[in-house]
Amino acid sequence: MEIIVEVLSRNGRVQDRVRVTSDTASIGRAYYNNIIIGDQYVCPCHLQLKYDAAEMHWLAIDISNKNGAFLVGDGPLRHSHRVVSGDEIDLGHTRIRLLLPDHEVAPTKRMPPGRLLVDYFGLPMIASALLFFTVSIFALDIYLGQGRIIQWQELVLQGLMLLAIPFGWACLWSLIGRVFVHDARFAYHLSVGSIMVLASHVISTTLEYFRFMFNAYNASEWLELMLDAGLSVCVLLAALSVTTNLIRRKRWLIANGLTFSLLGVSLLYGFVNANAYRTHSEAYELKPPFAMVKTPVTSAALIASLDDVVLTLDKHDDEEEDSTTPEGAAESPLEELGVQEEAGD
Amino acid sequence: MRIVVAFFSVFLALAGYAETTDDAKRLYHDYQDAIYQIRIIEKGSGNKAAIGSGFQISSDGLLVSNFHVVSEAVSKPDRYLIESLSSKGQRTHLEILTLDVVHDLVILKQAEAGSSWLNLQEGDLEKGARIFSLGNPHDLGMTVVEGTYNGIVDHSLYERVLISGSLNPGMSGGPSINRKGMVVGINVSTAGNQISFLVPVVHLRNLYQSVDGVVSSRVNWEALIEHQLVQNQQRVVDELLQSPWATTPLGDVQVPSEIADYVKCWGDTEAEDEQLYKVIHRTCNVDEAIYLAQYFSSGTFRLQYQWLETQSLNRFQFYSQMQDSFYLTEANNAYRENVTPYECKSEFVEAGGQPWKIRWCARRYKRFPLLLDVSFSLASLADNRKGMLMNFAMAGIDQANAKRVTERFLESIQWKSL
Repeated sequence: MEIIVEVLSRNGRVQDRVRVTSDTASIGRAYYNNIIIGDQYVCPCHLQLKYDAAEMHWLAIDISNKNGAFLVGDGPLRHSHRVVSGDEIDLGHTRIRLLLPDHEVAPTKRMPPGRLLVDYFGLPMIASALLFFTVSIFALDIYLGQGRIIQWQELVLQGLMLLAIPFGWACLWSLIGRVFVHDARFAYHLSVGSIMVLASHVISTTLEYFRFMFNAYNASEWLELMLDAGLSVCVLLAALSVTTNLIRRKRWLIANGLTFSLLGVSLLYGFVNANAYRTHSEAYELKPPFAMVKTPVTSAALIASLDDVVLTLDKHDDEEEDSTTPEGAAESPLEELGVQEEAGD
Repeated sequence: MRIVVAFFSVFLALAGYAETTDDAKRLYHDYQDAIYQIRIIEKGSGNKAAIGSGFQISSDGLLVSNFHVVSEAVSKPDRYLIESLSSKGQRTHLEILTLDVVHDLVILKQAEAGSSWLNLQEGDLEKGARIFSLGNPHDLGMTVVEGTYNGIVDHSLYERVLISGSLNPGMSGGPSINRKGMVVGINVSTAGNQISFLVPVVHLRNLYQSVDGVVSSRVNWEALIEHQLVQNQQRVVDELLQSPWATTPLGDVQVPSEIADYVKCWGDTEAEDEQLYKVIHRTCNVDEAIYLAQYFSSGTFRLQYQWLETQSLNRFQFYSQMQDSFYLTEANNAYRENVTPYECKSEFVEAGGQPWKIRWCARRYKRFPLLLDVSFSLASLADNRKGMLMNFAMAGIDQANAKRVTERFLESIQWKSL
């Protein structure tokens, strides 16, 4: 007859699992035991397990000379306790669980669907390809933004500086993963880092187009805030899901709570500073150059529509707001003579 | 004989010198009692917050100074009061009688009239005439500065007399007088290096004639200032729109530049070796503005143009450079305590046979709600190798006039070739 002994850690995690195939087994700190427990509050020979062939059950016998053994939920172990599958017994600071082979196990869980994605993005090939793609897009962007002769060394340097973001991200999260779940998954985090950089660039470029086409600067500011917040949530969840082993429900909840509270805080920040987002006098878009699909209006139509601007101005007149003074504000060459300030006179 | 003539000339020159210095001495002696230091007193501390100069112009104790000397007391009467300090050290409380914000003048009423006053010069003074500016620079005591009268500045938006003489902070509001002791102008500003400006006395006479001598505590100065500013911008815009705007080429576009004789244009071309495109800048300024408060001026405008062209940039690169140079400019200084934030509108508009992107922005004056600062920028969008960026910024204009000027500007642009 067989019995399985699980040695549990303080937080309930199984540290050791031993299958006993003989009729007796001893548990204690001494090395002659079948199951050895490294706990200084456990006696050299603390508990004995014995199969009663006549009665066809296992007995747990307390043979300690100090500290005793305690059946969880019952109290001190009787001299010979008849084992029921699933019994947990405390020896010193250590808890063991006794299981019979026919002990029922929980139904098999389905793998989380994201797991496939995690494995896919964890492939070094995919991570390298994503990184390369991101750097290429940025190199193209830098090239298209240049109005002067640019040396290739400069492009390489800027590319390397860009690489620092996904690499830094990957290093940080693999370290966290290594500590918490003993699994670094550097390639996966590198993929997530690249996607993050790429997606944020796509968002800002798309909104540039949005601002170019429409007279909706506030909407574009809000959209940018929401999209950036959404992106942050996605990448944080992607990183946390791997570094905290989300198969455990509690951790899954913590990770979700953390990311959504971050989203909440960023949206709250947006609401509090809503006025600052309302007018953006510096947003002067001219890119992309091929995108002008709206038909230009006549100057008369434009002049007629200018009253709307002043109407909007009147609507917000009472609100107190930041007034930006752009560079290039005029400076009179004449210095007014008279007013001489006397500080603290 | 030659030696005798030379000696005689030297003697004459010395005699002339002695005469002018004697003039200064005499004038100072005769008129020092008519000159006052104007002090803006902060009520909380009881100390002065700002100083200027002023002078008495009538027997009933009317004092003249610059509006910018007393502007704090006008906008915040609960915080500041105005007093005068005579040459004998006597302090007297002053009330504002009337003001002219456009010409930077204020007439104040003294509780007790002083014994001495100055008369105003009738008619014009000759260019080159010797004049004497009086005032209290840097609170150092009453001084007299000799200078030369150079007449009204050519092509100015707000009339100013140019003098060669050193005016200094604290002398604002003081008189400049001729050798007979008649006021020819009121000290107002300096551009350094012996270049200083006076308000012509004719504006003081006009203001003085409108005074009935009764101090009314119920006068709403803000409303009066707003009225004067509105009248002034109406005059400026009417004059500006009366004649067709002459345009000059910049790149391939005919643009309005020196649209009035007081508008001065400056140019520059930016074409460094490493830079793959060329930019020609033109800025047309009005060097004058109306002082409303510290860090708040108005009644002026500015035009800015940038012509960009390239042979080697592709269209993406070219529009990136265009975008980097496309921004809002302002014609004046103003901060949030005096103006609302800008409200803007973007649109695509057809002008001069070309599609443009226009961004039209306006902000309102908090204390003078009829007036706006308007700034609009245009960028040409049709050509991928050459383009124009334009900006017209106006300070202190009403809604209807802002639209009139925008319309005229759009009509004036002409693209030469497409």
